[in-house]
Formats: sequence, structure tokens, C-alpha cells
Amino acid sequence: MNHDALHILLADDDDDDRLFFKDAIEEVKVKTVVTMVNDGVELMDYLNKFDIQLPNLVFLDLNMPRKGGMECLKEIRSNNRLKDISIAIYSTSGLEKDIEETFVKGANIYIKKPNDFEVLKDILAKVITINWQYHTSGLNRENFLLNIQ
Amino acid sequence: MKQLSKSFSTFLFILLTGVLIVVAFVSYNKILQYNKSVGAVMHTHEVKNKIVEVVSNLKDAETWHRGYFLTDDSVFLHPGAEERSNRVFAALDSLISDNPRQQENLKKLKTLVDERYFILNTNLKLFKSSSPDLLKNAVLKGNNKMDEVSNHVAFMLQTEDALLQKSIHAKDRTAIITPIFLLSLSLFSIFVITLFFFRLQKETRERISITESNLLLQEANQQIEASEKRFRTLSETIPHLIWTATPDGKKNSFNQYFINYTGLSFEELVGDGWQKTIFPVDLERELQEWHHAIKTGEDFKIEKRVRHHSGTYRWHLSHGIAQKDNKGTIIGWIGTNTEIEDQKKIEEALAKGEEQFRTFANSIQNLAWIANGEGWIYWYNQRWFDYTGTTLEEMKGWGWEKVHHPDHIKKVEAFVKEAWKKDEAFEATFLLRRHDGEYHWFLTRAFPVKDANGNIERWIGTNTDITEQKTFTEELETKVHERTKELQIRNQTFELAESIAKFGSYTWNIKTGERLYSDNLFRLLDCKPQEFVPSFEKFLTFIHPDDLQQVLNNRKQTMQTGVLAEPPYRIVSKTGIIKYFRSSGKFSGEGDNRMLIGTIQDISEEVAASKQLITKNLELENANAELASFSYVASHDLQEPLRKIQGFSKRIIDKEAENLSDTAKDYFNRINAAAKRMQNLIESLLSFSRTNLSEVIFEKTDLNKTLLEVQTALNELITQKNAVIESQILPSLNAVPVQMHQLFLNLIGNSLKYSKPEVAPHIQITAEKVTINEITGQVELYGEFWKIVISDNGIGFEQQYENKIFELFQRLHGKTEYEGTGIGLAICKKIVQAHNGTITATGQPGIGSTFTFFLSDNYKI
Repeated sequence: MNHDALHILLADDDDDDRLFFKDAIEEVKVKTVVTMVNDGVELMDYLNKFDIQLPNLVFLDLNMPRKGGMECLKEIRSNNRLKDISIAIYSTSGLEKDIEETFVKGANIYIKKPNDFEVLKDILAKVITINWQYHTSGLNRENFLLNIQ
Repeated sequence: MKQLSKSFSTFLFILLTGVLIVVAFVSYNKILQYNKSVGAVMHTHEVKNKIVEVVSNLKDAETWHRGYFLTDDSVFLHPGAEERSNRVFAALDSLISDNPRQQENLKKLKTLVDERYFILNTNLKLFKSSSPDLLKNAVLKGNNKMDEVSNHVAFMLQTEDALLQKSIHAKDRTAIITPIFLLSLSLFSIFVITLFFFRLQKETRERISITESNLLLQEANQQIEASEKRFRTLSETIPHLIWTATPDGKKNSFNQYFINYTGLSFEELVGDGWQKTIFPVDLERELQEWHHAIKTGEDFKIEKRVRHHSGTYRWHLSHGIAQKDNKGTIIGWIGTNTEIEDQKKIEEALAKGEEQFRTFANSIQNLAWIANGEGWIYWYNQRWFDYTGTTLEEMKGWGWEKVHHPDHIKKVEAFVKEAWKKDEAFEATFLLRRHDGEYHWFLTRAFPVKDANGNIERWIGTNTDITEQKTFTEELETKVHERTKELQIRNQTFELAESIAKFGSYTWNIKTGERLYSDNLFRLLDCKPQEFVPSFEKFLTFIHPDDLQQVLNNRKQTMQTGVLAEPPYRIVSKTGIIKYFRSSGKFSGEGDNRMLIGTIQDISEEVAASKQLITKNLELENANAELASFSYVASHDLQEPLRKIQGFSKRIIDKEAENLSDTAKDYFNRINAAAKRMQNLIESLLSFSRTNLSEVIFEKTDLNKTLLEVQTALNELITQKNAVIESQILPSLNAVPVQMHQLFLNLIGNSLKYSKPEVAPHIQITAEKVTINEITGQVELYGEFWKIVISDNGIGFEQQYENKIFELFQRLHGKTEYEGTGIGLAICKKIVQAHNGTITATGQPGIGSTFTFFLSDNYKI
């Protein structure tokens, strides 16, 4: 593992989305290490391993088989070792209900999966370069949903 | 009085002193005068003696001379007679120094005596010379001289005697008058002293009695003070208004109760100030009485209204009494005001009661009268006079006998005389003559009114025309007959109503337990009318076994609370059909007449309908749940592949641009556009389905703010098309904010979208408050509404499509001309309807479209 690189973890069951994500992040000019898991169970298994370096940022899809993103979010936030990891919700859903719930459960930002690859690149560039400490302290419902046109 | 006696005593004392001084002075004077008188007498005597001594000295000398002559012996010659004579003369001279006349006489006497002595001495010489002739002449001459002396002495003595006489007289007079004078003065003094003594004694006595009186007075004063204090305390504590006034009628003190009662201060009340608390009408009367009382000193008594501090006037009895001194002079007034409001009210009520009684007595159909305890009638009601055509003057006392039938009058008199003696009510029937001479039979009833002691105070009686009553009874019977018929018709109508409305009626007398069921109630139980005798037990046999306990409980509750419990229950009719019944009813009457009157309704159809409704509701709920899951699928799963299609086709165009032909690129763009349209469609459909979610929240929504947000959202398009949006001030309504946003967004978005290619869009928004009359459309509306109109100068539409444009997926234009899903206006309509409003559209091709919607001012779900 490269200690200088930003460690990003993506949990998404959708093969296509993982591909888009990988392509987009490679084009963002930030040194990153990306780990990908297929569902919530895999995600929690990975995070609960003690011999790994914890990721700086987790992109979490909500609708996953076996264990959904909402459940993972709850587990991470209630685990002392994991609770400080920054979590970006990364979902197709734009439902108010989902946005509201993840905000309440302690996600740091909500990203609706964009249709456009270019938009995705912009989003990832912005999310990766956010000063999370600053963002979290000033977090509110209005800036929770990341909006990039 | 005391002063007067004191000045009198002083006067007496001064008088007495004066008298004593006068007595002393006069006594002294009189004694002096007496002494003087005595002195004068003695003086006169002395003078006479001295005169006599002069003569005697002279005679002595003569004698001596004679002896000498005779004897010639010188022994006889005693020298010194002359000297002695001179000494006597000197003494005399001093004695009569106060009497000039006697001094004159004395001088003459001295001369005479001296001449005599000279003659004697000459004789002596002649004798010695012995010439007898000469001697003889000389002796003769001497004798003459002697005679002269004797005469003069006699004259002088005579003068002195006269003097003496005068002195004695004066002395005697003084001696008589002085004692008398002194005696009288002394007597007077004694009188004055006696007077003074008595006076003093009296005064002393008086003084003693005054001292005693003073002590008594002091004691009395103390008592007065104490009693005054008691009076003050009393007057301050008793709940009466107490006042005092000066003799001229100015009030000068009031007790605390007076001040509290009127709510005015002492300064405001004092003098004539109290007058402002008197009811103006009463004040004039009071002042008249008050002035009369002040003038005459008679007691003052008046009933008047006094203003209470609350501002209300209350009746008072004012009573003033003049306070007089021994001589009967008025020294002040004291008075009380006693509130007699309650008495007044009672009096008024009594008067009113009396008046009411008279009015009542005059208004009844009967003849009425009032007699005193002896049966002397003093009042008749107007109807008596109307009937008999008489006056009170004629009828008073026993005058009523005049209108009785002459054949019966004796009998009636005898009966009445007996009746008056007893003290119980009586009845009698007799004929009374009407004003036109016709006789009618009357039934008289008289009741005694007794006073507190049980003595009959008066009799009150009525006379009822039985002749008329008989006619009335007949009339009544006819009426009853008519009403019965009417009632029968009504009953029939009611029965018909019962059978149509499927209800039956019942009555239940609580006391007797008697029940009556209407015919239709039997029919509801599938029985023949009045097939059985109604009873609760019998009715229970029809109740569905499962509901029996509930019915019994309801009955128990009804009897306890007096309010009929009305939940539905099931019965099994005689033919075995299960029906739902609901009882309703009301208690009425009291005691023996306490009844439960009510209806029993067959509500089987109602229950069936409500069951169906419940089923439908359940179905609806399920449908809604399905729709919700569809929404989720639509929002999530359906968009997923679309996103991929767009994503990959875009990637191909970006990444593989140089490997693709222009046609291929165009195809990929079309794929992209189609996928995007699909996505729009799904999103629109989602928002359409969301508009009828039940959890939307109505709140005060400022449409001006909504418009501003919409303009911001559409900013890019507005700028791009150079559009102008004009709006009046919009209202704040009770609405769902998100839906209002959607509504304005869709309508304004449409106006911008369907604008004419070369013309900048001009959108006008107006708002006004209207009533129902101005509203048209499918939805029935009531009350006040806001009419909001959004009109544009766009491409417009044919009016015939007005309804079509609000339908789902209906479009008037090709996709290539104007993008659109055909859902926007359908959503608008749904939103407006969800707000209990309506929306209409008018359009003219090439000129513009106008969308008008009505929203309730304060709509609540």
C-alpha cells in the first residue's frame, strides 16, 4: 500500500458502475488507491480485518444484495474503530426519504449517480479534494446533497 | 347671675363703708360743734364774770376809799385795786378778742373805769387837802361816773347774755339734732350690715352649692363624653347612614358608613354636598321637607333614593330629629338614613302582584269579585260589568242582588248568609241577569283568604257561565272528532313512512312496563302486525345470540344514565333472516307518565354498504402500497439501465470518436436523447404519482416566494429566451409548498417552452379574490377562492383541446418541435384538485394561452 495515496473504497454491486467509477477516478489527477467490494457483507468483512489500513473515504451504494448500504452505514457509525471514516453515499436513488435517512444516520455526503461520465469525473474530483474535517463540522441538510450540473 | 350677685355685694360693701365714713365724720363734726357750743357758753360766762369782777374791783376800791374817808385810817386804803383791774381787763381783752363789738364796749368800759379810778385818786388828794366842798363835788362826780360804769357794764352784760342765749340755743339745737342724726345713721348702718350679712351668707351658701354643682357638672361631663364616645363608636359601626346638621340645615358630620356607602369624602359631603347623592327627582321633595323641618323644628322624615358608591340609587328612609336646649332653641340636627331598598322592592312587587292579579282577573273568561270578611263585595272584574251592564256604584256591597232572578233571590240570600259564616270555600249555582235582560246559569266558586291569625281577610270568587260552557263542550267534542280523524290520517302516513324507511316505533311506560309496537316493527321482525304482546323478554328472543349480552348491557346503561345507548345489534327474524337493528329513543314525562319513545331501524343495508366500503378501503390501501413500491422501482431500478445506456453511449462518443463514422455518432446521440427522454418521462411519472400521497402537509405558503424560487430554477431558460415575467402580489395560502412549486414550475415552464420562435415570451400573472359565482369547471366549489391567472403570448392552442391537454401523456405537438412528456399539465390539474380547486385553460393559436386556477383561501384536508 502506498502511504502517500488517498485510500478510497467503493462498495457497489453494479459491475458497470464500478467500471465507470474506476475510469473516472483514474482520470482525476489525484494519487489514489481504490479498493472495490461487491456488497455490504464484503465491505464489513474488509473493514473488520485488523491488518489493513482503514480507507480515507468510502463510497457506499444503498441498494446492494445481502447487506444494503443503509445497514453498513449504521454498523460503521456504531463501531468505535470505524466511526470516523468519511462516507459518501453513492446511489441511483434521488428519493427524499433516502437522503433524509442517510443524513440522520451520519453519512457525510450524498451523491446521486450521474448519467454523464464527465459529471462523474467532476464529482469525484470535488469529493476527493474536500477537506472532510471542515465539511463535516459545517454539515447541514442543504449542502449534504452534492449537486454538480 | 353669679356675676350679678357679686356686683351687688360689692355695691353693698361700698355703700356700707361710705355710710360708716359719713357717720364717723358727721359724729366728729357734731361733737366738735357741740363742744364749740359749750365752749361758747362757758366763754360768755367767763366774760360776764370778768366784767362783774371789774365792777366788783371798782366797788372794792370805793368801799376802801369810803372806809378811809370815814376813819381817815390809811389801813383802809388797799393799794392795787387798779392793778388788778388792769389784769382783769387784759384777760377780758384776750377773751373777747373775737368780738369786735364787745371790744369796743370793753374799751369804753376801760375808759370809764380808768376815769372812776382817777376820780377816786383825786378824791383822796382832796380829802387830804380838806376842802369839803370840793370833795363833795368830787364825790358826786365820782358817783355819777360810777353810775355810768354800772350802766355800761349792764349793757355789756346784756350783750353777753344775748350772746350766751344764742350759744345756748345753738348748743341745745346741736344737742338735739346730732343724736337723732347719729341714731338714724347708725340704724341705717345696722340695716346695711344686716343686709350685707345676709347677702354674704347667701353667697357663701350659693358658693358651696356651686362647688357641689361643679363637681356634679364635671361628672356629668364625663358621662356625656363617655356617652358621646359610645355614640360615635355606635354610629361608626352600625350599618346605617348617620349624619348631623347645624340648626340652619348644613350637614356637618357623617359616620364612616355614610362615607363608605356614598363613596364620597367628608369634604365632598359637608354642607350641601350630600345633595349630589340624592336622586334628582327626590332631591326637590327632600329640600322642601327639610326646609320645613328647619323652620318648624318638627321631625323630618322622607323616603328617597340615595346613590350608592357603585352608582346605583337605592331607597332610603331618612329621619332627622332636632336637638333642642332647655329653652327649646334648636342647637342642631341628628338623623339617620336606613336603606329600605328590599322593603321597597317587596312593596313594588306587592303592588305589581296586585296589579297582575287585577289584570289577570280582568282577562279571564269568568266573572270575578272580591269581598271583605263579612261578604261585602268591593271589587268586580270588568267582565262582571260587561255582562251585567252595571257599574261598581250599583254593585258595591250587596248590590249584586239586583241582578239575581227575583224568584231565586231569597234562596240565594239565605245560602250566602250561611256560607259567609263558615270559613271554607263554597260553590253555588244561580241565575244572573245579562245586560239585555236574559238570565244565564252561573256556577259560583268562592275561596276565603285568611290572614296570619287565621281570620278571613277576604273572599275571592268567580262566576262561570255554565250555559256557555255547555256550548263550548259541544264545540270541543266536534273538534276532538276532527282532530281524531286528522290523527288517523297522520298515523297512516307515518306507517307508510315507517315501512318505506324500514323502521318501527315503540313506546314503553317505565312505571307500568306497558309497551306498544307499531305495525311496521312487527313487520321488521317478519311477524304479522300486533302478532304478539310486546315485552322486553319477547323482544330478547329475537336478538342474535352473539349480541345478546351487548343488548342487555346497553339496556342496563340506558336505565342508569337515562340516555339511550345506540350501538347496532343483530336480530334473527321469525323467518330466520339476520338483520342489523339500531334503536333510538328519548325519555319523556315524569313519574307515572315517564315514557321511553323511540324507533328501531333496520340498518342491514347500511351495514352491508359500510362493510363494502371497508373492503374497498382495504383494496385502496393495497393499491397505494403497490403504487409506492412501483414508485421505488421506477425511481431506482428503471433508471439504472437508462443511466447505463447514456453513460456508455457517451463514453463511446468521447473515447472512440475517431473510430466512428458521422452516422454512427448521430445514432449514438439519438440513443442518448431517447434515453434522456425516457428518464424525464419516468421522473415526471414519479412526481405525478407522488402528488396524491396522503402524507403531504398543508401549511401557510407564500406564493410570491414560490414564484421567486421557480424563477430562479428557470433562470437559465428565462435568460436564454429573454422572457419577461410580470406578476401582481400573490396571496399566502394554506397549501403544500412542494406542490405549489411544481404547479408554478410546470405552468411557467410551459409558457417558456411553447413560446413563438422569434418572440420573447411575456408571461403575466394576476391574482384576485372571488366568490363561487365566478368559478366554472367540473369541481363543485364553495366559499371564497383566489383566482390566479397565468397568461402568455406563446403559440397558444385550439380551444377544442382544452380538456385534452390536461390528460396524461397527451401532447399537441411533435417531440421534435417541442420536448415534453405530456405529464406536466396532468400534474397541474392533479395538484389543483388536491387543493380542492379547479384549473381551466383557454387558448388561441398564434396569440397565446391562459391558464386559470382557483385555490381555496384556507383549505384544510
